[in-house]
Amino acid sequence: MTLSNGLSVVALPHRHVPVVTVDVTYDVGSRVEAPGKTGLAHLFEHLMFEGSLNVPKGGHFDRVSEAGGTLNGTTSEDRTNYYETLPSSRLDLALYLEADRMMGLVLTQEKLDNQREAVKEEKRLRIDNQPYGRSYEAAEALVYDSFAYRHPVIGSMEDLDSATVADLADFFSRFYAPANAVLCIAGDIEPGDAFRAAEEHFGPIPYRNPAAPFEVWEKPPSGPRRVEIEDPFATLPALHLLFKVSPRRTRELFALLHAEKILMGGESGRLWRRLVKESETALSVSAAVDERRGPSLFRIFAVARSERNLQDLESGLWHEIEALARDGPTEREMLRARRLLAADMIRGTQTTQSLAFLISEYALFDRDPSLWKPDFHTILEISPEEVLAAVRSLLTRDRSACVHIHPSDSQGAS
Amino acid sequence: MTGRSGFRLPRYDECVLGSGMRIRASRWGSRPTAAIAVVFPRGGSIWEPAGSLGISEITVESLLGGTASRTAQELAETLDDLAALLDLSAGFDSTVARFYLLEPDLREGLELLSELLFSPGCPESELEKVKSRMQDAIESQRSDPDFVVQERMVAALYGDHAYGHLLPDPDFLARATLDDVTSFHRAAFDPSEATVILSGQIPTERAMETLRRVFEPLRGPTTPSLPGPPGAEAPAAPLPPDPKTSREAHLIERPESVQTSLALARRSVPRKAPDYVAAVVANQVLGGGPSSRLFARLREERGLTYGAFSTFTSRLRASHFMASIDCATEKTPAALSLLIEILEEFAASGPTPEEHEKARNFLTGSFVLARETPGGILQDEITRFLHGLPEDEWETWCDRVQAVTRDEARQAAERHMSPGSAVLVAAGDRAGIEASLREFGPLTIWDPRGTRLE
Repeated sequence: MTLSNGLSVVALPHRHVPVVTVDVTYDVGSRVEAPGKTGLAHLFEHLMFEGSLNVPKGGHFDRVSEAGGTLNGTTSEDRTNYYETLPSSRLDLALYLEADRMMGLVLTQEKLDNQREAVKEEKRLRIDNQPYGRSYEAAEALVYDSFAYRHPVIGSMEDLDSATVADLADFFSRFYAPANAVLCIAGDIEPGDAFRAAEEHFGPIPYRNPAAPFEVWEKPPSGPRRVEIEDPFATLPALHLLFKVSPRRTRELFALLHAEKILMGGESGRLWRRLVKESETALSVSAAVDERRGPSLFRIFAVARSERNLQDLESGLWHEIEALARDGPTEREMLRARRLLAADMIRGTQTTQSLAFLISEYALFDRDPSLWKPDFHTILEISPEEVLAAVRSLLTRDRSACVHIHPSDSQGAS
Repeated sequence: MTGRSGFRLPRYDECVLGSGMRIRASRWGSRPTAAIAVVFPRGGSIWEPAGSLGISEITVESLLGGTASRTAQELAETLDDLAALLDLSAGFDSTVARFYLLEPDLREGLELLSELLFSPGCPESELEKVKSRMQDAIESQRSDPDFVVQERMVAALYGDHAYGHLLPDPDFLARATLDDVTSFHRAAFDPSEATVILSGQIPTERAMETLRRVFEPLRGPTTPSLPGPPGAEAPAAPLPPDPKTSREAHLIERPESVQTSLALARRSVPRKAPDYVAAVVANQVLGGGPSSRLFARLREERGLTYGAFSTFTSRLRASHFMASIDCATEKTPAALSLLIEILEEFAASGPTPEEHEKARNFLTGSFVLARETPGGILQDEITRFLHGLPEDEWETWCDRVQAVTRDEARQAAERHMSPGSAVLVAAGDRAGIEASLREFGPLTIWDPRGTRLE
């Protein structure tokens, strides 16, 4: 259902327990940020909890907590969401709070200064003070060409310091229109009741022009990229091997989901078996498909057992990827990958919150929240030939970026 | 039944098998999945023989090294064929194997789990690999500032007791043999003492029947196990005196840190104490979430930290309270001073009427949130079993929370959360934080590997 102000509303009954999740996902992420304004989308997300037209600072936290609920927000490159999970008898409260902050915020210099400091602490906590923390930023800056994806979601300290109240007010007016958002209500609800409640709370919000469509533009692959960095906190060397691949919801990306399971679906995956168990060059290996609206990433991160293993580790990764590109998956590997993917889908739709997150993205990005089910089927129908073709065309040296991380020995050798 | 929102907890069926193993099952969940836990009450580090600190963890790690009939690789492939998730964790008191399956694979998965836990076959060559990997993993863990804070904190709170160690003794790890692993396994992984708990979207009768078929053939060990029946005092060093009578501070020098990871802790309320529920209510007010005092004052008023929380950690023989923050080096003196001020104020006057009401409402209202999945329901039962809590522990939980008076919460805060005789541990840039730590109490300085510098 779409309200007259352009807000899309999705209601999904899931009645196992008396719980509901309300999720509002806005079509704005760090990809829209300009140079000099990095971190604004995430900083703005923090300000959304600092009081709105009829709710004082702290009120969103207090009122949801008092109702026995939890709440938070997340910002990615592609979107920002806000959610409450609470007893279903308190659905109205969550809708009231989300509608109130969609209607308007009370932005002040004091609130901005306060949350700027909180975000800078978050950046230190998650990135600047952690082993390998900054290497993730270095890896994305290396693999992408477009500013949209090559700068970190959390931004730079300098840009956070320079953000103004006027920047935030402008951000709200550009991106926080009802027509730029999706409201998803998932849980112990009757859809008719949920739609009526959504209309009651969100209907009075006036129409505002939605943001102009945004596309991430990337250059074609231009050869392997490489950088060496020192890390003051790491005690073991490590590497990122990234590939710039296809956008979300493409068949070749679905095929790479299988490749990821074949390479690193568990301890039987090729990478773990060869590099952690057999050659013992790696302490750990992980792989993931980072699905995006623009070019996605196929990520591998591996920690080496010692400095002298680092080059062997990279060679070992390439050996396994190229063996898969040459010979393709075995029948048993395909069966196993399908089972692992099916299990992920089942486990990933157990809670009202995971369902709401999943469906909101389909509703926002594809204008069709029901696509998640056919997509699940399509993923499971991918053939071994498609996996082979995707690995051959996408996990190539031309598309790769490799970051070697060397401990700088600041912590003293053991 | 909780009596709130029409939410009903599932009922468990239970029976005791010929070996003495208890099996329990309940039907729960919205998807065709099952969560299973096998609890070994003598699998924790408190049961490790003297001089073999870490054998519980080495034993658990070795279980994936193969079984009597499968190599490590065959075992890994079969687990992945089933899309099963296995979480083996050696704790302080016990070891718990958590296993997550899809419903159609229940029988096959349980048979594999039984084989993995009760018919180990890790060869010497695999054990050497496991040990070598654990040594490097220790090195890697110590690069994490929160880990080194936790490691130093438990050492300060519990001394040489098993509770005071998060990692194996490196010398023992180097010399541990397959015989050490085999003898600990024989004692700790005794089917007659184990309890298997299942929660999943499976009719309880069928779940019980499957558990029975899989685990009935098992019998207890044929050779004598560790001395003492379950619940007896474990062969571990005595706990240090409790409570400490003075404050002490520890600084872990971590060059180039831009932030201080800081924890303030003290020994605290036992899980079965009469005022435990009052302490939970008090903690919710102090540091239980984004509407708590620590969060509101340290982050929302002053922007000194990203998160500010407090928790109770309950072990069988002792427990502790901890408040923690991470703040920029230059903000550390102000953040530490405010943290102590909040703790002292709270210990002295407890919650306000409004805070008391809000905390109880959060704890009772959110009870259902943590219990959406079979894994959530399973955790309740593991906690109940490990701590020997009554059968109706969770059915009565919300009523007991609501019954806590403001004065009871205040008394609990005074008794269990006061920073008067606490341990302060901080990891960060020494030059920027040393002076403020010295103000708290006598200061000891360490490097991240646990070597005392001063």
